[in-house]
Amino acid sequence: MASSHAKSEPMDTSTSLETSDFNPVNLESDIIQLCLQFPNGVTDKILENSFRNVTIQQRVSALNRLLSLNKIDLLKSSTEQGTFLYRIRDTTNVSGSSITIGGGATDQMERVVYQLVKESGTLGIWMRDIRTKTKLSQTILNKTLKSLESKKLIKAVKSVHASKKKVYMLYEMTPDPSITGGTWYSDHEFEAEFVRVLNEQCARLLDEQLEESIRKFPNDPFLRRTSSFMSSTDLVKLINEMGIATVSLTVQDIESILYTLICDGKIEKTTVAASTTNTDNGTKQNLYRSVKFMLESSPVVRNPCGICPVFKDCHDDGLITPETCIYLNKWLDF
Amino acid sequence: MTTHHIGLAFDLIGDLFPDGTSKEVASYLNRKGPLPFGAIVREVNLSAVNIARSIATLAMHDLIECSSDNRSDSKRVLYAFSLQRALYILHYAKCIHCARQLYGFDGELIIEELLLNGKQRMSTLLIKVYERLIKAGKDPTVHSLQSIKETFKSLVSAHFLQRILIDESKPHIPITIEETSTNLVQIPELTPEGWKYLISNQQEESNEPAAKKIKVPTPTFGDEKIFWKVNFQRFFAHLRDQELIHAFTSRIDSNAGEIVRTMLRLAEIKPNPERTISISFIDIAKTISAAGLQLTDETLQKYMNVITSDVNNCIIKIGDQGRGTYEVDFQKALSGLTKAHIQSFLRERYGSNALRIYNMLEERGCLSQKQIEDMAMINAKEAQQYVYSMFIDGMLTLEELSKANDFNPTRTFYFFRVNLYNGVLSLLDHSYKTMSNLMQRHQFEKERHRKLIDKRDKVEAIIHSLREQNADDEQIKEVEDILSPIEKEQIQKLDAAFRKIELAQLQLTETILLLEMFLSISKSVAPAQKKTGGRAVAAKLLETRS
Repeated sequence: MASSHAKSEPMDTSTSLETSDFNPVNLESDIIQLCLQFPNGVTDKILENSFRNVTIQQRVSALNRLLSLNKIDLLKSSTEQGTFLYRIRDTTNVSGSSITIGGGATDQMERVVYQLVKESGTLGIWMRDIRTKTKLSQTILNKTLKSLESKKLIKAVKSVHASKKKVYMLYEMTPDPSITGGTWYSDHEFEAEFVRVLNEQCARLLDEQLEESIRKFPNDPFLRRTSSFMSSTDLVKLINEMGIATVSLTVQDIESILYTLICDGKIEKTTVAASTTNTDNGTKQNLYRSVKFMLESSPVVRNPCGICPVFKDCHDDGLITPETCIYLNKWLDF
Repeated sequence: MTTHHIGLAFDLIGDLFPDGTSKEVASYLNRKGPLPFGAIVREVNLSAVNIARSIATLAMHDLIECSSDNRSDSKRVLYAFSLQRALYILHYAKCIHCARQLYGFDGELIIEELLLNGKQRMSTLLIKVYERLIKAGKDPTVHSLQSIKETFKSLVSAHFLQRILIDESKPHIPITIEETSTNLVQIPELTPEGWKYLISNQQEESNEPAAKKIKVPTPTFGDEKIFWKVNFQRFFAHLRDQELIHAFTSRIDSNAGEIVRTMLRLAEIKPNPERTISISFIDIAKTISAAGLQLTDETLQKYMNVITSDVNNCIIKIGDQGRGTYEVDFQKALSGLTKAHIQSFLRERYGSNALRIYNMLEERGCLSQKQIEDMAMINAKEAQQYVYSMFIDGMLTLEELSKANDFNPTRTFYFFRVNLYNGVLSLLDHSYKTMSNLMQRHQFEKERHRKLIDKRDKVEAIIHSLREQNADDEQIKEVEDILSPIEKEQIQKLDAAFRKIELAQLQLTETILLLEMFLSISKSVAPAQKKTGGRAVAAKLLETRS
């Protein structure tokens, strides 16, 4: 019996061989046909029912071949626990084609990672997020990312806010403004100089407006005040005309610059509900006006003690005293 | 009551009373609180007579307050040192200047005499002022006793002087009369014989300048028990008004300043608590035209419009009676002015970027370090440095908001907030110290160049007497040549330096006054400082960064 058993096995294999010899490619193409009929996926059960004459091993090996050829996808079923689905891979898909064009057998993991990166769009995805989603180990993930980068499929973009953090996104995508910082950042660095220049220009424009209004209405304080206002839209137009910036600035950008000017104490702001004829949304307008300081300089800082850097160390009888203070000496010409 | 506060007070007292006893007694009383005379004599190493004399002088100036000991029901008097009053010495010069501007020479001398002597009777005051005017060479017909008395009357009616009565039951404790609108002050009328005495003195003076006086027994003047003293609060209110007018002039234009001045003057006539008073438009228009400023009603309306819409909101329109009723809110005005001082201080000390951060925080309430860096459009490193320097100086406060129950630094939010009260306190302290420094330097330079100064004074005295005797120019030139040219140069430099120091001190008193008034009127309370060592952390961080 054992021998018959033993014999039966080779018989089985021989029969399986026979059958596989008989139609291995056919089996695969049949499976593919079946998958095409069910674009949402074919369960194992359906496969079993359709190919009754094929053994499990034959079926499994055929399925493996198809998977490795990237013709179908293996998915876990969400409706029935523990079953698997086989879905035809859409070869007309752009990403799919790029992978297959890209060259030969791409790693399964690379594909998964690529899919995640694609989903994140312009914001990009952080490495740690990829790791939590795919549950891959660090080294393997690194390798995958490197190979994808070398194939020029994804790229790493450094965030301007946290310089150590890198997010990955598709090669062709332009990064979202929140990462690059928007108008004020170039090459991941804050352009303080640019902001300062804009600051001065706005202040100068508003000052000129104030002087003009003083000239026009020397006797009427109310008209003087109202005519010295300029709206933010006007300022944007003027600044863009002057061509200081390489990019054209929006009202939002100019408003943030004007906000810093308010904090400097040089201008004041009023909001009016005006309906202008030449703008689309005439709901609210911000008007700005240059103002003079209430106090030119406080008496506290008119003597050297006010701005002395070692003020806290100055005592009656110490190393630093008013009697030998070099700042006082200079101030009094001694 | 910081160290600098106390140090400055004692410097001032030492200046005013150059002998050391007053300073010692005052400092002892300051340390120990109110004490009876016996206790002071026991502890301080000076003779009882000297102590008594110094206490008497200080009490005349109100620097020491006398109160009766209520606990033990004995007739003991307790003496307490008043630190606040000691600092008023800073403002003496400004008060005298105010009096000069408003009431001329007579007023100036009246106030000066009162400040030098603490409290005085009107009769003695009149005599002294008259004598000083004559000695200074003023025309006696213009500055007669009568005119001085008139000035005195006007000073009293404007509440610049206060009356003191002595309560019969407690003869050693003076009581100041609070002036209310109903209780008009009565100028004591001098008895006729007293008046005659004064006038006879006057005539004598004009006839024989340095003649010997006939010994006439001084008659009673009828105001033995009525003393007068300077009302500091009134002067301070006046100075505050000046500041406000100045601010409006620089913000809008001089007409606006004039309008504000008339408004404030109208407010003076109706005395009030320190907050608000209401004035109608018609009153303003009337007073302005009376003051000679040619403004039509419409222009005035426009000005009022502009003034009320100014940023501080200190002058607001509250109604329409009388074509518009306006109010001056002193609390807002003072806070606006103090904010300007603090801003100027930050601008000069740390730079305009730091000022930007401060203003931003004030507007937004509280912000974390990261938010500040983003919103201020400044380099992140610089922003951090500014925030921590301002925090150490006391302008900002730190608030911790923890996500977890323990204040783990990685899991807590740190918010910075602007606290005007704290900022003013630290700026005031800074000013006190600066003031002491300037005084110390002045003293030091005077000591260092004492010989030179003495020499110069002697030479000037000689020249002055020579000029009186109408000596010829050659003699005068000879005397002048005692000082060599190098010495003359040195003297000039010294004079310039002293002038600079004094000017700085004077301007500083303006700031100190403003800040103190703000503190007294402000209703905000300093927030409780959490003892989390945040300041030490900030200091350390600043060190490592720089």
